[in-house]
Parts: sequence; structure tokens; C-alpha cells
Amino acid sequence: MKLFLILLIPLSIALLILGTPLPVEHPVKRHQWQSPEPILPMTFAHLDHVGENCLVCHHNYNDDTGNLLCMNCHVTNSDLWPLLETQFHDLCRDCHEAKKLLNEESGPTRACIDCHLDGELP
Amino acid sequence: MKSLVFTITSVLFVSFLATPGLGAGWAWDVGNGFGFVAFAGLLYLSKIGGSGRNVRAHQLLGFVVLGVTVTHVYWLLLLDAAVIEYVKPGAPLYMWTGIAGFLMLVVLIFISLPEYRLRLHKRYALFKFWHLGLALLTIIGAGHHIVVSGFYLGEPYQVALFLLLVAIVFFGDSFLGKREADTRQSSWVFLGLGVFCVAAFAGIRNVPF
Repeated sequence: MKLFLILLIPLSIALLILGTPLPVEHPVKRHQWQSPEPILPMTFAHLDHVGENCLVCHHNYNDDTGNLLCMNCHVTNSDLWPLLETQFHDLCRDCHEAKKLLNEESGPTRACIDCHLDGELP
Repeated sequence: MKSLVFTITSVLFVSFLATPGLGAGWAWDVGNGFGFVAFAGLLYLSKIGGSGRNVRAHQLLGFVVLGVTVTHVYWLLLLDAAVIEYVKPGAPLYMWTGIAGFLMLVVLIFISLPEYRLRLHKRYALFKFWHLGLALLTIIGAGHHIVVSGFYLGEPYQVALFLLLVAIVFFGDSFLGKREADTRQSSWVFLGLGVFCVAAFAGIRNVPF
């Protein structure tokens, strides 16, 4: 058991630096949409959301907070930036969960890699 | 034996209360099933105690719980490449408390082995005090990780039941004055039951009924 744990230390460090050796998709944190710190990529397929009310996400079209896209404010505004992860997790995940529980077609609910991939831009 | 079954099944049961059919895919749910079983193992370890003839059983169960925890951690790190970013600087607090719980469990187990324990603590009472304190901190860290991540305990009543369960398992026997008499079989029962529960945890969420 001691040997196992001793081996686990360099393996963990290698895993942290190099990432998983398995042939799965590897998202890379980087500065995106002028983010002050590197962030994970996010994928969002507009075409999969055509049945939704646009204002659920694009609140700015209705509340006079501008006419830009999500990331233009939520990443660059210093008040909104610290809330980016919580706000987007809550918005996307809660809606996907609600739909899945109703047995409707839904997006990812929990697994990080299902959303954090390069793909269509928000 | 009965309290082991109660502890594992209760922890998993609470996770099913709000959204029993909400699956996130086999890989993700199996990985987190191991996490819930490991947490139940931590609670059960605090319940059986490690004195008298239970010393070996308590040690062995500690190693098994550590093994299940390692499986939870590395399963997710290996199969979901995005998770690695949540164990680096900038990760949310609930990930740090989970990591702290994992590291405290490693420390807790190894400094309790006789060869190290006798060097660190000359008095058994002092060892017991620190062992119990560190065990409580480990459970708090792991519990915070489970609750605040919000993946499986999303409703306030689930959190309340979860905390109540932890309190019952951790403190219940102190009030009732009970300790399980013989735990020699518990590691293997825990492992077998744990694997079954992980399969149930992921299966119920992902098999279309």
C-alpha cells in the first residue's frame, strides 16, 4: 500500500501536467473572448436551441443592458466575470436538467467534457 | 453488518430523492458513484472505531475506503479531460475541499499505522483525539465537496437529509452508547456492497426504463 501511494505521487503530477493519456478529447484553457484569465472552451449549438425563447439567454435584448453577445459582457465586465462559471452552469445545467426530467430532448447535465469543448461559439 | 448496509444505502438513497432518473452518462455516474460509496465508507469507519479487536478490521477498511476514493478521483481525471482543470489553481472551493478531504484521508491512514503513530503520539488518548478530529475534518471536507458541487444533491431538503444522516452516523452511537462488536468481515462486505451500489447508482440513472 505504501509503494502504491508513493507511485501515485509522480503519476498524479504527470497527470496534472500532461492530462489524461487516454484517447479522449482534451480541452485547453486559454484566453478567449478577451477573458482576463484563461478559461475552458465552451460549445453552444444555436441550432439546437431554436425552440427556446431567445430572451431566456439574451436578456439584454429586453432589459437595456446592450445588444452584444453573451461573452462580450460576461467575460469582459469586471462585475460579471467572477460570476461567469456559476451563472453559465446554472443557466445551462438547470434548463437541461428540467428538460431531461420531462423526458424532453436535452443537452448535457453534469459531465464537464460534454460542454467544455471547442465547437460552435456562444 | 446492518449498520454498514444502512450507511451505504442511505447515502445513495438521499442522492436519488430529487432526480432519480437524471443520468450524465455511465462514465460520469460510475465515477461519482465511487465517490458516494467512499463517503459512506468514511462515515462507517467513524462508526466502528478501531480499538480492541477491531484494530485490524478498521485499518483494512481504511485502506479499502482509500482505494475507493482513489478510484473516484482517477476515474474522473482519466475519463473526463476537462476535470483536470478543476484540480488546478482557479478551481472552485468545493473542489479544494474535496482534494483536502482526500489528502487528509491519506495522512490520517498513514500516521495511524503503529510504526508512525508511536513516534508521533506517546499517549494513546492524544492519538485518539487527533485521529477523531482529523476524521471529522475529512468528513466535513468530503461532505462540502458533495453538497456544494450540487450535482446530485440539488435540493435543500436533500442537503438537510444528508447532513442529518452524517450526524446520525457520526454521533448517533455516542448518544446511544453502542459500538459494533465485530467488524472482521466489514471490508469485504463493504467492497462487494459498494460495487453493487455503484452499479445501481449509475444504472438507475442511465438505463432507460
